[in-house]
Amino acid sequence: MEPLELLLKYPGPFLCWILPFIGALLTPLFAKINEKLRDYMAVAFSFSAVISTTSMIPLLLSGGSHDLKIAKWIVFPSGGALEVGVLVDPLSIIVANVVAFISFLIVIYSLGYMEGDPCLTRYWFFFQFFIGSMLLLVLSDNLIQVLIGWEGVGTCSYGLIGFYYRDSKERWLGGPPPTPMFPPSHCGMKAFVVTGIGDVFLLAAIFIIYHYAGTFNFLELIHHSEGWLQAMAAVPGLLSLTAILFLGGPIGKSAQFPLHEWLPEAMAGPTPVSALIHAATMVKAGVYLVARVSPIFYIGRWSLHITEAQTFFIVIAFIGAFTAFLAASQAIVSLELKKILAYSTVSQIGYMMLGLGVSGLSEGGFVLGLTSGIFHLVSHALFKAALFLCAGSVIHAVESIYVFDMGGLKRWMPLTHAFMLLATLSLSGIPPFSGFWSKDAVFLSCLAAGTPLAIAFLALGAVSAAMTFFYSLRMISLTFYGHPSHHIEEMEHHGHHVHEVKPIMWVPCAILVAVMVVIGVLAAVGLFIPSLSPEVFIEEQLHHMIEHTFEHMHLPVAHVEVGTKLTAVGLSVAMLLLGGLPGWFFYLARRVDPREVVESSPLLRGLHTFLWNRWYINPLYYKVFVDGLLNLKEAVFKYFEKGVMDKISDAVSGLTVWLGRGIFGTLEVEVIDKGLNVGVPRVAEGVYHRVKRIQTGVLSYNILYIILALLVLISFFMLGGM
Amino acid sequence: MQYALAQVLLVPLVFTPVVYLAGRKAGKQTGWLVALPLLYTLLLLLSVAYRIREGISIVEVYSWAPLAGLTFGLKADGLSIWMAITINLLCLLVAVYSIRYMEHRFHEEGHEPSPTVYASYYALYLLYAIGMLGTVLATNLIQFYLFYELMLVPSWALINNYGYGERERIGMMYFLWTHVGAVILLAGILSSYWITGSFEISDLSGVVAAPMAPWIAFAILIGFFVKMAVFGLHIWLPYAHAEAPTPISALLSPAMIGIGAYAAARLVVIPMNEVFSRFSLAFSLWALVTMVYGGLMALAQDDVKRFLAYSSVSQMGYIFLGLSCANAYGVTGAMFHYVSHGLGKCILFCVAGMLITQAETRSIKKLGGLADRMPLTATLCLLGFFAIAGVPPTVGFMSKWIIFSGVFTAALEHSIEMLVIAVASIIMTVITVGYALWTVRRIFFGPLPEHLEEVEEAPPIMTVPLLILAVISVILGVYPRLVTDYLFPLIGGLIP
Repeated sequence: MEPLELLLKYPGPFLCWILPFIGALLTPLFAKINEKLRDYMAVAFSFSAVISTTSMIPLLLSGGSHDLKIAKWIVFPSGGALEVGVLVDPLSIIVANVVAFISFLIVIYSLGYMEGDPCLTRYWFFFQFFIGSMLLLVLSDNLIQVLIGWEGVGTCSYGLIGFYYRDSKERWLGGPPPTPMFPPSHCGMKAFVVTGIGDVFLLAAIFIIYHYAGTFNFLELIHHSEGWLQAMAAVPGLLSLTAILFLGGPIGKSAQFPLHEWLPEAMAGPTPVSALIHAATMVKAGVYLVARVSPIFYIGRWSLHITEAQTFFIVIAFIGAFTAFLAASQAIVSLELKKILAYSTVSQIGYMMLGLGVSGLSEGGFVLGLTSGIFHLVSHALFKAALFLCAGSVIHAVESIYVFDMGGLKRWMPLTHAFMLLATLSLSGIPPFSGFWSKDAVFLSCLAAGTPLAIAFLALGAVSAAMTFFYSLRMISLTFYGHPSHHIEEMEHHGHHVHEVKPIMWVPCAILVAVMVVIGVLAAVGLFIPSLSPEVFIEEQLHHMIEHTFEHMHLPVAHVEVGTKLTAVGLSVAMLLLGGLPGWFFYLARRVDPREVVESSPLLRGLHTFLWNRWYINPLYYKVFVDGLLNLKEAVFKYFEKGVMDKISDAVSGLTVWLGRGIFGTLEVEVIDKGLNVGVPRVAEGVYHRVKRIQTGVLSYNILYIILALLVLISFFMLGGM
Repeated sequence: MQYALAQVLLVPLVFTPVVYLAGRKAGKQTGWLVALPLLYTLLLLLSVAYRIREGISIVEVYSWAPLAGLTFGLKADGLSIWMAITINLLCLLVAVYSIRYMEHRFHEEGHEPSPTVYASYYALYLLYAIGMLGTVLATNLIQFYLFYELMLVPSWALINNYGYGERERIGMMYFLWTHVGAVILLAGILSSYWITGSFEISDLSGVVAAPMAPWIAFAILIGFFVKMAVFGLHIWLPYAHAEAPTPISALLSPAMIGIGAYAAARLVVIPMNEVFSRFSLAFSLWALVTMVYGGLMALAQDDVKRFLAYSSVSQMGYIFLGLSCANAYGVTGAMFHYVSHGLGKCILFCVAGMLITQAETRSIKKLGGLADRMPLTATLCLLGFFAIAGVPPTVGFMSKWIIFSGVFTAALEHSIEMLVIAVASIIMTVITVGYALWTVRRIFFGPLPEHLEEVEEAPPIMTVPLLILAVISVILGVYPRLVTDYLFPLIGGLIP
């Protein structure tokens, strides 16, 4: 099909990312006309993305995957080409809709939250570029295009996390002292560099794959997998290496261990940006990419029987489970409201990665695992967006980032409280909210995989679930219940009353929570009427998609026993009790002050310090990489560049001069000078007197003569040649 | 159009004395007079580019010294055309930028400038541009060598007369290093003549079979390595590029040193591919060291121009890495990166110049928080860094991935050692991002120090040329076929 024809037939998948890009580029222009216009156009352009993505839903229902190639981007010497195209299939449609819808609500919220900020032009530029890049990434049909969206997302996160680049003290993050605090511009840079490390690993993997497969296109990679995967498997270790390198990208972008340390600092931006990064874009990119390529490795493992392909799944499942645990443990002690949520994101993404990872551990569990990962992505996007927007409202109201500066807010902010409570319950995995069902799906896919490894990962995940409920209760209780903090009393005293936020800020939260509740309820109803269950819907779509892309290959699906399902539910409930009881004891009922308990035991004190210092991973990274590099460059510059290279350069010139002088003193003066300098000058003198008239001695004229002579010479030769 | 390529060299040459004479009256406005022929030649080159889009090449041959069998040839093909366009574009825009900058520079010297200083500055400037353009278009080695030296002499004079600091000493250092490199290059050229009996670049491949071939290749390469300032031969570069007048730095770093890479590709990597690829492993290691070392040294600098100079060393490492894999992807990526680096680094040096004229300092320590006062400059600086660090949608992303695609291809075909180098080098790209963002942060972000509160945005005559470069870098990033469709078919047809 002609590009234009294609565009007219399938406008949605292209316009959904082109329009936000256009919106971003036009933002400075609108700002010149009118500031209100600029704000409303941002809303309009992000809404156009929603329209475009929803227009793809009919394609979802008609099934299959469409690879729409529109133009040749780079033509290679081999005759092949890198083509610009979009891959429209259930996976991309579902994720794109989540991205566009949630981004749009966050845009609305921003209208209220960012009102009056003098730098809104920059804000809207990056915001729309962010949405555009994320949708480009999701819809790309090839790895290079994904990378462009991927880097675009990273660039925008850099611009938005460091949005308050003036680094005024109240924007700093971290602390309270003596814990170090970081300025926003530092945090933005940290995000870009840390995710950048993951990106280069991904890039390396892409080139290795390209060398063997000769294509960047996802569908072609799957269709030709037999050839290139086997060629790669012939080199021992190469496939494992490639899998690990590849996962570096998603691990960095989705803030998984060991590249998770940037996300807690990514809170330095305005709160809507945090919501955008955590719920709709950026961190979801890694999960999406893993889901996108997992069919390739699945084929490698279960159809071509290459054991090494398993590495991909084992590594990502382990990383997911371990990160879920690691981050949840840190959320327990965190004192900044947004940082608790940040750790919780890291931990929840871990669940998604776990779900995707166990999908390849057994032959029949593929669709189950994939579904659990994607379903959790959807449900997490909803509740985490709501949580961040509510947290933004709270921080806006109390003018502090610390939970100990809050407390008792329920009476002043009833709506925000209600929404945040519901979203928190979903995060904790309380039935019937969506979080319960999606986490349950992850547990179930671990059980269904059934290998010892999967069970071990499940154990980690389960413990994290208990911790999740515990820190959720702690967060909600410290914020909304109990007595108002000293800080709030002081504010009241000075006449700053805490009050509920404007409708433009709570309405988006209300919508998010409503959708979240509907999905939860539908999932519950789905137990009896499967056709209504969103989980079953996603599963069917993904199954359909994978069968379609695998073409003639049969995709086995393991039957999950009712007993297994009950085990998963039982495990969830048990973990809720395990985390909920102490949570209730310490924070809701407030029987005992948890600080006293920690103080009373050296073991707990040690544990607290360990968690507070983020398992010492962050300080270690700074020590080794940042300080290490800075010291290294100092030393190399001082001792090598200045000490050796410069000295060599000086020595060579010194030696030349010394030699020159020596030769001058002997050969030159004694022999040549005396021999020639008496005779030749006589002749020269004669010539001199004759030409001296044109020798004015003015440098400028001399240059002119040289140029003229050159010109004459060259023209002479060239005329002669013609 | 006939004689198009000859005009590219002759028109500026004719203008040189005109510029000199008129400049004595026109003073600082002479810059516009320099821009005029350069604009004309740029349009000529673009029309040539349009004509050769199908993969043909245009050669103009004029008889030069028939007795020695020498011709004066000019060739525009897929490889040289983008080099020439980039050089011409940068020279044109920097000429306009110079108008305001050099006025500041002469005032900085503390005396009212006489119009003569403008006249000789711009005359030398134009000669320098001719030298660079002639080098990339040359078809025979003697002609190539002459232009290669022609680009050295005016640039030396410019550093020597209008530079900063110990400009005489540094100018001398620059001259000697490059000249010694060029002499070794000449030795290589002459020995190739001894074997092939021809000075034509197209006959160079005849050397390959000779037992002396590696030595000839090496002699030629050394000259270019000095120009590119690869590790060990780089010591002159930070001095020269830091102390040259800033518009000249903005040509030395982005346009000139990369010509070394172009020449290496044209004279060695392509015609003597079999010989060159024997040293792939050693060269790629050398390139890796250059990348890392340049990046580390950049981190250690406080002077913003020295910082950029070391960053050029590091970027030449990338280009060298692309060449070292000796395959179509690597060489194409390297040549493409010349364009990316040219656009990006030119923006960055000009931004450094704007810091000098507006904030009156080059020391990063004394700068900070300037995004408030100079938002446009801050944006340009960020875009410039994106172009060299390879962040989409700028062109750097495209060129870097093509380089690395070539590196991995070579690695997977050759050896495990090469794969280690490939992975290490791709990881080291993080250093570029690191020093770039760190510097942006130190100059433009954070609180605004008191002594900078009065700083104003640079005038449009300085910012508009840079905006043009930034826009081009984004256009090429979004539509790279404008460049790759010239490079890939040509290079892909010559080497594997």
